[in-house]
Amino acid sequence: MKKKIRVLIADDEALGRKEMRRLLKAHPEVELVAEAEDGDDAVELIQKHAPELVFLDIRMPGRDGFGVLDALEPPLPEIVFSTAYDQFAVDAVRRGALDYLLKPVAPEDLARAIQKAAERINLKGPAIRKDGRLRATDRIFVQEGQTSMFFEVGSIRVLESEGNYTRIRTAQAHGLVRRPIKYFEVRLDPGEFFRANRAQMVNLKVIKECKPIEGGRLTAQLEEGTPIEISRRQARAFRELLRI
Amino acid sequence: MSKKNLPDLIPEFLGILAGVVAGGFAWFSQDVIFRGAGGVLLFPLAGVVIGLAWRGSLSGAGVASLFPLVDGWRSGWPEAGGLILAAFLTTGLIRSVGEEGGIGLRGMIVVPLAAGVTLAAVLLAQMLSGQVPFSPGFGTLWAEQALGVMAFAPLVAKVGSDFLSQMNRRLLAGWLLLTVLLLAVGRIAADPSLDPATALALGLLPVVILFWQAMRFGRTGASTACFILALVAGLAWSDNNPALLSMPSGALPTLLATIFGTAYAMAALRDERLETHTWTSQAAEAYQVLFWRWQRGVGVDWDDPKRAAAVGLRRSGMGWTLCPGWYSDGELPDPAKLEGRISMDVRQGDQPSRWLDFSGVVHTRDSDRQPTTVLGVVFDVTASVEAEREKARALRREGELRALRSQLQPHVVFNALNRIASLTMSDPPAARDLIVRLSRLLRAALLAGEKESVTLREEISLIGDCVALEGAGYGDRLRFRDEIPETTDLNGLPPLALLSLVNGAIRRGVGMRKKGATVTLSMPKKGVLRVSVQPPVPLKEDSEFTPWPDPVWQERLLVEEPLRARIDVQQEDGAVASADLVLLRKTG
Repeated sequence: MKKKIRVLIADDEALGRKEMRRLLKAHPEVELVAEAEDGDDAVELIQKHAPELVFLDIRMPGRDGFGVLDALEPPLPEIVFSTAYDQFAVDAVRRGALDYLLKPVAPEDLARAIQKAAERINLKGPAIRKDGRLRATDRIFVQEGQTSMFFEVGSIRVLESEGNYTRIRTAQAHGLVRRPIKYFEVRLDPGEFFRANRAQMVNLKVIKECKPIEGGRLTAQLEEGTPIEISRRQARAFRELLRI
Repeated sequence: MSKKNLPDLIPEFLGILAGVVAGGFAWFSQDVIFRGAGGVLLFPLAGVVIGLAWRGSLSGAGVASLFPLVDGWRSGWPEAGGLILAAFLTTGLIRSVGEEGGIGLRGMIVVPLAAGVTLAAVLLAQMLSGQVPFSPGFGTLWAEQALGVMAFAPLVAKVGSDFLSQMNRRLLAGWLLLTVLLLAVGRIAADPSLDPATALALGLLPVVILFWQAMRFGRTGASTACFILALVAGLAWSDNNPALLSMPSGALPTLLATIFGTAYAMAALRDERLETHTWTSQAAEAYQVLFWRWQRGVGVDWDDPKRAAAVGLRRSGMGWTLCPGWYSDGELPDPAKLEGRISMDVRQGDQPSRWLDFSGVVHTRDSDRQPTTVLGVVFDVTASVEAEREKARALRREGELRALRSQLQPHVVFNALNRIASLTMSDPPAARDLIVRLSRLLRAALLAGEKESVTLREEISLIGDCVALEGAGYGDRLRFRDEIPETTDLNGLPPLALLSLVNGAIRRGVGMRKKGATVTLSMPKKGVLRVSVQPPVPLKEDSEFTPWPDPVWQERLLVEEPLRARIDVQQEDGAVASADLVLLRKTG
């Protein structure tokens, strides 16, 4: 038998959860693992149950939907926003969320969202890598001012330390994550991302060429943008890494 | 009628205490420094105290004007009595006129009554102690001093309140230093063995200093007031010559002061010219509209002086409160440069006050009422008012759909539909009830564009529908209380304004809290409809969610023509505790 998709509902209204429960009954391929009544509850339950798909209400007391995403450790589950009327949910989808549902929810919209989620989940394969590292298909939630975005790990070009935050850059956009760059050193695949110096990590894919400069350091030319300097200490590690 | 809480009365008690202590001290000490120099020192000081009390409360201001007693002391009790009574009368009178909504009757009766009782007590004490024999000149002296104080009271109060409105720690320290200096000078000058020329020179020194101090504030009015005060006191540098303050030699300064004080008070009491700028009630509207637009970062064209120019003033006592906004002398403040600093003081959903001082400089103030920024100046008003109104008319013409969207938050509708969708399976009668309620709300929203006004009962009925719809989702988290008696009705309410306040309170107060909140609808006084939320709604500038109260509504009400209502906000510890819909026109 095919494995069921593990689903969590986060909605502060009892009637809202009830309605979603009812609608999900029509989908034997999903399994409801938990229901959260507010944002903090949602964070706790998502961490506890590690669902693959979350129907996330945006307006909730405590943390709102984006606050929940901000608090979660990557990799994020597939997120489907559910909202009565929030333009920014619709925008969020454009910026990488899986889908959104407008309440009251039409059954065919729900079917479409679940279908999409199933495809993504199959594509990603097993839920978590054994070494705890993030996969290229995993998503990271980033914010830039009032804008929230989801970046696929594979699309990240450069990570830059900004104090306790890290700025993540893709080819198209950039935004902040409320975690220090050290965190990503542990979570990203060392075969894909390299800590070039104290402040920067770089996706090895985007390095075009490397030249030695004085002091035993290297300068890495990227496909585009400012070159990145690889510190003396890291230059040794870098050479070793490339020999492998 | 709302009753004052005991803690609210603390400033009054302090004012009374300060007045009694200072007056008593002056009266009984018989200290030489209160001769002559006392006049110079204590009038401005009295002004500060009165100004303080002015901010606090009515009776505080009245009692604080006990200070002139110090002056009266020199000539014995009849003068003192006259001074006290006149000061009470004047302050009470001016305050009663100046107060918005009018406490006229209370001001005019209670204050003189209190003064009379105080006076009687003072008289009695004096009689009993045998200190003061009855004087035949009683009547003349009384009348003369009363006239003088009628002039002085507003003047002194104004100077005092200006001082306060300008006051920061540095200024306060300077003022204290100055007081000590003047005390010292007074002590020396009051020595009867000094020759008259030296005494006069010393007497004029405080005049110069006071004038210089006043000029520092750059306000001709305050300067003049100070100058006249000081001049009077300086001329009365009697104490080698007490006759200077009496008729006829005291007549000139008294007359001058009377003319100036009266003219000033009259100007202040009417919405008329102060200095060279014209204020109108239109200005108040225009400025508020602009302010909201500016605060929300839309629609103010700073290159067009006419549009950027607007002033809103609200009278408060002798002073002028500039309603949130700014005021400029032709040179417009650059919003980009001001923004960062203003944000210290201005918060969305708040109605911060700015004080317009005598010369027309506008400050932002922090929570300790200390000036933080000088904002600058604006006038010319009519053009911008007209432009805003035109915009409002255009907005109204934009059609019903637009009206529906902005009158009734879309969330209300869609959340309601979601709840109904859920209930249709589990509880069809409840679902039906909600559908009826929702249709009533939708109908009201569609008609709101056409209807000029609604009655309170109509609005409360809709609020009931709204609460029922939201309550279906929030359950116990939403606690709603309607404290307005069912028999109470008003007409002339702008359609859906009160509903939007209640709805916003629910969304921001209840929806954002796990334990929910209590939303209360009440009418603290006629024509003021209050929506309070307990616990209060935190101010979140950066929130993506609509603040409470919704600034769109605040703006919308201000561009209504004719102006019918405005929304006032009360805060507690940086959170909005309640919002009042204040009806501005006669309601029946």
